[in-house]
Amino acid sequence: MEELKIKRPYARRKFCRFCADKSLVIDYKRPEILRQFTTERGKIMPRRITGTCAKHQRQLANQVKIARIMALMPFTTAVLK
Amino acid sequence: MRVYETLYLLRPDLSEEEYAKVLEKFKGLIQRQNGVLIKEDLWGKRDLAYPVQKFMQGYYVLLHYAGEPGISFELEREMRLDERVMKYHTIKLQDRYIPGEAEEKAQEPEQKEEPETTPSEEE
Repeated sequence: MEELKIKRPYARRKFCRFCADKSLVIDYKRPEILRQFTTERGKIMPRRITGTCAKHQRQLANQVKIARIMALMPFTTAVLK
Repeated sequence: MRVYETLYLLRPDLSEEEYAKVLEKFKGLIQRQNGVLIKEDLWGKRDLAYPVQKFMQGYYVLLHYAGEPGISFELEREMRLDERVMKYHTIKLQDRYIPGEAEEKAQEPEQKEEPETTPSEEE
């Protein structure tokens, strides 16, 4: 038991940024916001990393996909450069 | 009547008058389908995230309109046939169109455009 406690490094509690900040809209027309939740490669980041709640993660994923279809966000950056 | 939103993407090599013609065409189409145009937002020429038909730029146009359910199909069909349109996407915003209310909603997001969404409070 003691060891377990020691092993665990300090980690700040993650929170859903969309729940905390209502002005942060999830909209495919705002790729600059969505981009904060994707990797440089354009992949959607998992909840376990961003801390987004299930409801907002779902909306986020859907909106990212629409943005990709409309060429507002990349599917991948592999082709470029 | 339902409220729809259609975003479409035009070729970047259109001349000024050709561009205006396309805008008129789709606005006219909405009218002919007995729809109501709520707002038209011209995003202008923007860089694309990946090449589309070998272009790296394009004109984005956002339409908000209300109409009977068939209207979006008719609009999309025209866009599919029109070679000046490279991409389009329609979503339904509301099931019922209440004159006035939809117009207000359409204005809202534009006004509070920049509430400074800083990504800093992470750590």
